[in-house]
Amino acid sequence: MSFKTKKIPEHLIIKPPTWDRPKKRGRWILWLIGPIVCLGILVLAVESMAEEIEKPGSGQLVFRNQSGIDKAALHVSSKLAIEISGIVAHMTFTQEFSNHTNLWQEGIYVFPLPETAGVNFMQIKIGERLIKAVVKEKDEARRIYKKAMANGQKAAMVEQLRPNLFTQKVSNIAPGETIIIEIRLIQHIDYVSGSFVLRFPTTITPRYTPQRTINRIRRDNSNEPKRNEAELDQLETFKSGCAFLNETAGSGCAFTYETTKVTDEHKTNIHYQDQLQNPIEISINLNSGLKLSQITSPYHKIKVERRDMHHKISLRKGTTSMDRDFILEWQPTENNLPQTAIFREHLEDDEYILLMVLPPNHQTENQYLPKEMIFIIDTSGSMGGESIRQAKASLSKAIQGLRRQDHFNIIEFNSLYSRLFYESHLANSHNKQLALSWVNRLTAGGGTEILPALRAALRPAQSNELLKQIIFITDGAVSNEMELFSLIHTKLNNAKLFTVGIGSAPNSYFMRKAAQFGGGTFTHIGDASEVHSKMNQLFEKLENPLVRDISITWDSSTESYPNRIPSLYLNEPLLVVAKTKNLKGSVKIHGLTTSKNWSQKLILDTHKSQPGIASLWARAKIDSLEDEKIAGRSAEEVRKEIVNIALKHQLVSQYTSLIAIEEIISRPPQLKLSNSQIPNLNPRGHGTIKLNYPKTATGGELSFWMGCLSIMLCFIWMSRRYSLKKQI
Amino acid sequence: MIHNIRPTFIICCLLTITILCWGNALKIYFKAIAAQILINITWEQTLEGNPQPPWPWADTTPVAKIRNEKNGDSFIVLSGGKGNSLAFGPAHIDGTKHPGDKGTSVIAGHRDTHFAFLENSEMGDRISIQSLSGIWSSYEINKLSIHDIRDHKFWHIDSDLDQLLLVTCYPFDTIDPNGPLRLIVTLRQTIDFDSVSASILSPEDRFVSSLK
Repeated sequence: MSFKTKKIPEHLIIKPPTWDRPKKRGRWILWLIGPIVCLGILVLAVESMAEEIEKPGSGQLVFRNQSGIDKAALHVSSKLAIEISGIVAHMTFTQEFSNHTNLWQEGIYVFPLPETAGVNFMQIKIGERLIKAVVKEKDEARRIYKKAMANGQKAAMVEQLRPNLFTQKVSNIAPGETIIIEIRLIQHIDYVSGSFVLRFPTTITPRYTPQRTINRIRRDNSNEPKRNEAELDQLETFKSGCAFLNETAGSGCAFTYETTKVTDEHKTNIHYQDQLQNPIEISINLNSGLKLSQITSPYHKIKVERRDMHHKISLRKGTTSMDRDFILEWQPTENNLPQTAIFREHLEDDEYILLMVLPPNHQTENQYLPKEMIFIIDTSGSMGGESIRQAKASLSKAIQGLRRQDHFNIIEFNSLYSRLFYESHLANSHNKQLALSWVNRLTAGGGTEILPALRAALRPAQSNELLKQIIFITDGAVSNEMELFSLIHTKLNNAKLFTVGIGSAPNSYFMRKAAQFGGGTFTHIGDASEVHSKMNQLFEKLENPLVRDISITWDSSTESYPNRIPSLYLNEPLLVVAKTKNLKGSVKIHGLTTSKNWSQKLILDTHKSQPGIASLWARAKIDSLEDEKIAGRSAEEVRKEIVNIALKHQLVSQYTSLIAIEEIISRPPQLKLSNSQIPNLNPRGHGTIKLNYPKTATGGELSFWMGCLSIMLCFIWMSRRYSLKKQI
Repeated sequence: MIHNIRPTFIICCLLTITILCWGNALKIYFKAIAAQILINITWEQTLEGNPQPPWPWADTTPVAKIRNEKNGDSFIVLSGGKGNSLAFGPAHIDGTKHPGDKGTSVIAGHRDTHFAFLENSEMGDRISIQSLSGIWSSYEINKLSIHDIRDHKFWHIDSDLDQLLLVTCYPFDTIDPNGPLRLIVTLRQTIDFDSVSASILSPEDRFVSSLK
């Protein structure tokens, strides 16, 4: 309305020339300056755009560091000492954080641990001082840690991201100082196809979070600005062109939110570097109590010193780089393998028992049952390099091993999935040949969208006469494990799922759990030379389970895990941990084999006590509670139970962390604290190159429309001026 | 006082902005077209064994010629995937294999100039590449995917695969030059196995999806 005031036109029209002249000169200056200012603004805008072009640049490796200081701000060297007695391993994992900068530092390190290990001890070592950690609820521990960090006290905290993935945070490391963090964990040893196996991961294959999961989280998170919605919808529409992706929406929501919350956290925390000096020193004291025929480490060169039944094992070079899982295998001499092993511990009023029983091998050559075999092969980007070659070799081997009566199909997935056949075909030589050439052409690249592929594999078999078996070949480099377990749990029906873990650093947690929910077994292949023997072992297991419906007659005061004992395959032991009040007498084990019933009596109370069994029991209980959550129990209930058991047994879990605080305030408040993330090594054989995405749009269109906008404004202005003039 | 100068001054500013913006846009598109004409001449000379820079102060050299078999358009691919070569043509990303060689080769192009044709790409579309040796090889689109750079800071590529990746910004009809989405077109060299592949892939499995 202000335009209608008549003051403007009056000024414009009534212009005494004598008064105007000096003013006009000033106006001309403005006319000159105006465009120059505009030009300046435009140039600046273009400059800032150009800067953004340069920033992501070309294929350069960038190590992000929040403080922007030297790359190797913090240095970590690790030491692993393992004491193995029988089938229990006590590990001491030491991380040395040295600060090479002249700033106070907080170190953050994401590291893997064995997926069945219970972390029950941590201490900080600063010079001669030792500070022991306690287990607190996760949120409380975080609060304490943050407060201590702000106060300038030294503090350390271990948090669990996944059962096999942990974060270590150490605050207030003085310039030039070295802080040693000692973590202790306990684990039972696996027995696989005739040998005992200890697996210790040292690095993490980069994990993939499915696009759809991210989308859902973004949508769930109402605090997030809505700016992404349009783009996300576009993505969804693009993807919905592909079969079955829509079908999956709306399943497993309850878990996704939770898992991905954790995921986002670890996504920001893992950094990778290709050339990195963070060596690990490994020394093992092996006291298996058995006569051993050989001790081997398939991927590392080791030195073995023998003293009677004791073996001291160390790395031949002293240290190794942390780019692949460390594995130690030991084989007892034939006829020297006991059928049962029992370990116990007395703690407070309870007796804890760990028992391992190897069922007798009664396998008889009975009639071969034709099967429907579905192979799922992961061809995602993380499988690139050595991994995809191993996976293809394994799959080819499996195809060759099919019998004429079997039906089979292959599903290949990365961001999308595709199938060899629409429906399973008979494994005749023609179809096998087609399959082999199809497999030969597979290549790795793209995302790891397991869910749609798994869903396709789990669709009911075409005929119920066939025994359906799914063999899943992957590195498990995903972060939505819970969602997948829940799918396997609900959709499996009578099928069996077997996982084959590929690569230098597979996600063993995924392999083990997926196989557990799938009622099958897991196999690890870490080297091309192992493909033949490992796939043969797997094929032997693919025959019917050796022992089914196993039960143990505990008395009523006993709490034993696993809750439901899984069927055992060839050369697999029965492994149970139990807590009981009454250790007198014996228990009976019953089971069904293909030919006859198996029953065995075990006398419990004669065995010597050994520390750590209680922790193993608590760890197994937590594991079992997590499974209940997948089966549908309320998350809050499970959380309460896990917190209780974890606090009682001092274990790190999804809801509890270990935290240690030094009383002394070491950092003067006027000095700033920087923050450094310790990168992990890329797994060995990862033939991938890392590129920054190039900037692939010009500002041309933007400029054009900006020009249009400006001329439109110009016209509007002029027309208004014209109309104003007319009004007068 | 201010009422005196404002209208003319503002119109003057707005006109200047318009001229500058349109000039900038014109410059970008003119550069994209004119440079290709110049480089095309250089490419012919390069193939004849007489390599010369396209213009005396050029900091990039042609490395391949890419032809869209759908409409016959062709562009010369330049070395270096930085902003400066992308202005003149599709650019081969340093550190990846040369087009036509074994292994993964990555070519980036602007969505609104040279790679605008990717908007209509469909599975099975053919693209030919002429390498420095003059040999033409034919490629077929085998996958279309969209990456969000906010989720993945880096782009992991298996360098051992025999494939050609074309990358451009996505979607095609926005004006924001710094958008977070990229369209990745994966191409495989076509060999004579088409008959086999067609017979074993069911129609459902060949996700024939187009972008539009």
